[in-house]
Amino acid sequence: MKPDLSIEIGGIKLQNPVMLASGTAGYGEDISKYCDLNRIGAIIVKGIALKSSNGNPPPRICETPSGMLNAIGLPNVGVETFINEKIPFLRNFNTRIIVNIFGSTVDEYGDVAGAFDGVDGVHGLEANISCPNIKEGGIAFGTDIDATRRVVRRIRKSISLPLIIKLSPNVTDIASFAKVCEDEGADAISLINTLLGMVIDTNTWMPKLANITGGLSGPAIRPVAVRMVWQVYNAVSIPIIGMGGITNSQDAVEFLLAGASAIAVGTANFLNPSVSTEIIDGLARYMEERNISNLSGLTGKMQIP
Amino acid sequence: MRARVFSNQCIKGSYYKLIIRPYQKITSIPGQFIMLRPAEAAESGIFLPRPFSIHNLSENGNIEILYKVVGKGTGFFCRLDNKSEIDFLGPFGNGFQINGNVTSDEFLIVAGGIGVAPLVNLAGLIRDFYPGKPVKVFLGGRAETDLLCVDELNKYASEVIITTQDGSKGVTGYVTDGLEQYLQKNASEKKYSLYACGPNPMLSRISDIVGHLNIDTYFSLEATMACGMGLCMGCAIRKKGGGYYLVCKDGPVFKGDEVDLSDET
Repeated sequence: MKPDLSIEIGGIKLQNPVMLASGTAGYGEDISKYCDLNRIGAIIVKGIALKSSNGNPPPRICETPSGMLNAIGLPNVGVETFINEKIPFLRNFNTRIIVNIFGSTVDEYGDVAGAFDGVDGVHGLEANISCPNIKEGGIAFGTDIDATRRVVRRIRKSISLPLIIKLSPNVTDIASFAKVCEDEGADAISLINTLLGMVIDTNTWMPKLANITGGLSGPAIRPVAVRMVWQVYNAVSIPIIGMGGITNSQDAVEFLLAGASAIAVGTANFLNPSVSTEIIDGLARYMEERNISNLSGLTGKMQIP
Repeated sequence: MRARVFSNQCIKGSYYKLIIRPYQKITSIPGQFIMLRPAEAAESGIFLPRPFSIHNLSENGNIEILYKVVGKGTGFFCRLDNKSEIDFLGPFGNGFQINGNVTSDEFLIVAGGIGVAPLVNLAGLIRDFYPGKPVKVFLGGRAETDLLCVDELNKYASEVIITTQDGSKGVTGYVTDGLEQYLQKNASEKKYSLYACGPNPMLSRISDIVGHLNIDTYFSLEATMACGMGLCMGCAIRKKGGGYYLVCKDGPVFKGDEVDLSDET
């Protein structure tokens, strides 16, 4: 029997649990040439702020063992252009659109979130309180428990849309941050964002990124992400979107077993832009072979001897 | 997409020619590129694909890549043999737009080192579209061992002017010195189109040389990138007047006055 891959995440009904992670699929236009967006559970678009910005100077990326370091710096078109020019394209697809947002003050988070309430085609928001690459905002909120509380409270007041908070792994106790998000009315948690890292060129003695530090992603961070999903799963009852180095369906299953209700594919899109559809097919096969009829048969089902 | 390695030979010093045969044929124009990745990526230690311009696409569908071994990625690629397979994505990027609408009297091509890779077929394309119009190629490198494709360029070009920094072949100096001298002598007489590919300092110098002249200039740029298709946004290059272009999807070929290479010296 074909397994049922559908899942509901904080009020967002998905045809399957595989999403495209924010910052790895742009606003959908470029990846749609290589990946059938009608097949994926949701696209989480690249972070949007109130005003447009250009991002960081190059070099912005470098390769690392089993991963990459980036400091792109959240270039974006701004909320107005995004709503007017980018959402109409995304509405053409039979998928769910989750808009990733960020701000540099608590009020800015509230304002950018509020701009999306009631916008046709937007199914939910993911608030990025964890980007390690911009001076203001981002990680400053995600690594301070009181700032996290204030920003989630402010966004919650601004919208009736489903609200997902994307957590930073650059903290000692990620479960306490997840708990605060749940207490303040978040509908789901996504984790992990990139791990703060740094690479130095031993020929030039200079950092490989112009920003000096950057966010580490790719398979290198997967065990950290799986551990954190498991910790958060044990601390909250709202659903978890797990991400961090997922490159195939086995990796996806690992996150589900750790407690994720859905997963997002990030850096792997760069290497193979249609990998998310392969993960969907692989997950369906995995469940069919084991007579698992739906995702509740996997989520949080890690067996501890 | 998967391809079989057809051959992979050292052509000179640390320069190699890799010929791959894709299982599905592709089409491309000069200046476009592909992203190459080892088929057994996990074992190779190479995580990100690497961009390479397409040197030639032969009639039987083989993709030819010219590359210089400089680091971990190319160090891996140079060990591939005709029993290997390789993954690629593309072609990506805009390429050189040669369409018969150019009114120039003469075409100038400036190639620095491995930057010659996309320019040989560009020279051929220009000759096909504009038979009889002069195509002058300025080919430069550190030494004679850095000069590639001289015979092929001679087939298409009306003249190939060679410079080496150490004087081991042609005129001693930078490739841009030869261009500068030529334009000083001739610039006011004719309308030129200029196409260049090479290290960013070379392109930056060309910007300075042609800055006050009315020459249509096109640069094919190189950048570190993770995807080649606009997803990672890693391959930023400064836009004139502020902001950034992405080399992969806005380029890799840019009009010389669109990009700000002043920091690239």
